[in-house]
Amino acid sequence: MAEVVFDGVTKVFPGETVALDDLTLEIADGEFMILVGPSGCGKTTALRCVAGLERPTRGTIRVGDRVVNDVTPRDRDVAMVFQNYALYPHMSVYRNLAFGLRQRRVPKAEIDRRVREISAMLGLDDLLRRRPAQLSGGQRQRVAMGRALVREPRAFLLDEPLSNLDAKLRVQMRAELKRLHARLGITTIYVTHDQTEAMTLGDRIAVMSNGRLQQLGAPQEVYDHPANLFVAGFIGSPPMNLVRGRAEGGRVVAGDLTFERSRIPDGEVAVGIRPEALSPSADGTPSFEFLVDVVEPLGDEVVVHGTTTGSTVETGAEEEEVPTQVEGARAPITARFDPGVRLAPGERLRLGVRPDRIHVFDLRTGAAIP
Amino acid sequence: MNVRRIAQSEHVVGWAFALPAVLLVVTFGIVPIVWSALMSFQRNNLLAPPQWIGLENYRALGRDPLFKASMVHAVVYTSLFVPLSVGGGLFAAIALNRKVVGIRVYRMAVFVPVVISSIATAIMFLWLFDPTFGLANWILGKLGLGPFGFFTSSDGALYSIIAMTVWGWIGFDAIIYLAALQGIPQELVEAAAIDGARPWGIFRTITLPLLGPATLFLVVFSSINAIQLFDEVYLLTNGGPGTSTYVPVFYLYQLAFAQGIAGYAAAIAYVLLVVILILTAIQLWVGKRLVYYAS
Ligand SMILES: Nc1ncnc2c1ncn2[C@@H]1O[C@H](COP(=O)(O)OP(=O)(O)O)[C@@H](O)[C@H]1O
Ligand SMILES: [Mg+2]
Repeated sequence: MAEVVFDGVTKVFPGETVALDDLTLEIADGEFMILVGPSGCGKTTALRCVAGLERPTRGTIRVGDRVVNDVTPRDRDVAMVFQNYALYPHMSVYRNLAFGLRQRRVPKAEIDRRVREISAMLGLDDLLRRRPAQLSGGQRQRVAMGRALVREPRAFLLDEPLSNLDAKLRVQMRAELKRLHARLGITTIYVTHDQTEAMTLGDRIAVMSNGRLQQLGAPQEVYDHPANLFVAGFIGSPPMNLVRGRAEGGRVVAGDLTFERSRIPDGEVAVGIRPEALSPSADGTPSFEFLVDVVEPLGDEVVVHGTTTGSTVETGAEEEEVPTQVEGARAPITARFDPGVRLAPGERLRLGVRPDRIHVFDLRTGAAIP
Repeated sequence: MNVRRIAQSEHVVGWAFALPAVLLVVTFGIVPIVWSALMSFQRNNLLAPPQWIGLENYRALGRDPLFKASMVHAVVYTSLFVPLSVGGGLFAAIALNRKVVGIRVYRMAVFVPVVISSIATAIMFLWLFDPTFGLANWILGKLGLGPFGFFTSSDGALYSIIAMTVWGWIGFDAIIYLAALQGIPQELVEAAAIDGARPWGIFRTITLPLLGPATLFLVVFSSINAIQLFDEVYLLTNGGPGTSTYVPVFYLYQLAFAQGIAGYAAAIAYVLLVVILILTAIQLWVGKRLVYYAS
């Protein structure tokens, strides 16, 4: 096992695509690090650089105490789980699991011992003689994981390993991954664009956009204190509500909402409020008017979509362009309430929010203003 | 009743559509097959009325030294041509399966021999392998070898033909392999590299097995091709020097159309057919055990 360090890593692909832009990131020995960001932000490229499948244009990559830029994938001794698993289709599960050990000339008896151990751990005992084509998606996923783990690598790289599984299986595998990591303690870099995986799995998450590191921290810390507008818009589901506003003399006005914030510099700002920070009553707290559009009862909570006075802010984290059904100069707002709250489309009410739960960002730089 | 009538009428229309193709197949496929089968039991010179002689032609084959020599040549030719052309095609395909400037030109260059007619190829090789003026002997001479007689030497003529046909077919095999190589997911190769395989190990454990279907096809196809060798022998050596390049199809051609011994020639054709069927069956049987097919 070993730490993995990106030091100023830049990767430029032919055609001037900058996939990684001066990425500096230290993953500690035994840490579970999540790389999260929208599609195309360079997550896979980062993993491939560690695995030795891509060579950084600039910067160095260290595994343990060794700079590995010029080391072949074989000699880096890291393992990777590909998004589509990349199981060897012509080999049985057993041979897939044993492949890495055989290539490294591990004695046969030792190979057998380790393959049996890992297949027991992952519940693959009964599948050892099958070919990958004869397995379900979840089973293939386990084999891919087993193949990586059986070698006891120095680092474990996973590229969106759960994205091809159905929702139920994903929840199961998520828990299993966590258990495995707790048990084996292998340094892990886990790439995902999934909110929940990012929040639940890692010790720390690194949020990326356009090849740049946006924020690094414990999941809760990133959630509670997004460093900039991009992170604010990306982390959290449903995403943070953002309304354009203005700060002047310690007072912020955004649409219908007004609140005090000491020592804030004057200027254009974005005001951010998480859906769960909103309450359907405005007893004494700052508040703004809200027009209910769609109500989604989820059983344990109710998600309410609607609008308020003002205009919204683009963060660059929007997954895709969903045209928001907002007429005139109104900003979309999403709120999460207790299931007891009964609202109907067309209803108007005031939503309250505690001032300490309001985020303010510099509209020009996107940086959070404390 | 009504329904049945419609079904029947559709039947008729269907056959009407298929009729031209059926006629072609019957006239040029089935009729010759059956006719030559009958001929192989006859004394037949294609002119005089045939005479039924039972298995006599087949018995005579066993005593015919020229038939035996032809078969030996065919075995030598096939067992060299198949591995050399298939192996050479694989080698060429791997060399061509990369992104370098001008790769299209290289690919074309390898494939061109396939589309050149065998007559043009033969004339070119006659020049190349000319004992006195040929480029081959000139180069070998520089290396202190030769001169060789090539097509004019009874030891070397068969091997010269092999060299020429291998050259002519490598492009075909290379194209098939190139397509198969590009069907191998790059991720598998990458996964193997991370798993610790060296380039040779990746080739042996990933690439080669996944090329299995292409290899099986090429081996079967080239073997059938090789056993039926005719054009090059006819064009270049006419079976000679002496009988050193006699092969079964050339021999049966000589018998049927030069000497008018068509019944005996038909027996050779049938022996050849059986040999091809057995060889193909063996190859497919072995292939079924060794080759992995996706899905
Ligand atoms: N081999 C390549 N050649 C050219 N561009 C590439 C290559 N691989 C990735 N890219 C580009 O680099 C950027 C980052 O890609 P990637 O690392 O796959 O993103 P992610 O995994 O976060 O979706 C994308 O713009 C992508 O189009
Ligand atoms: Mg990716």
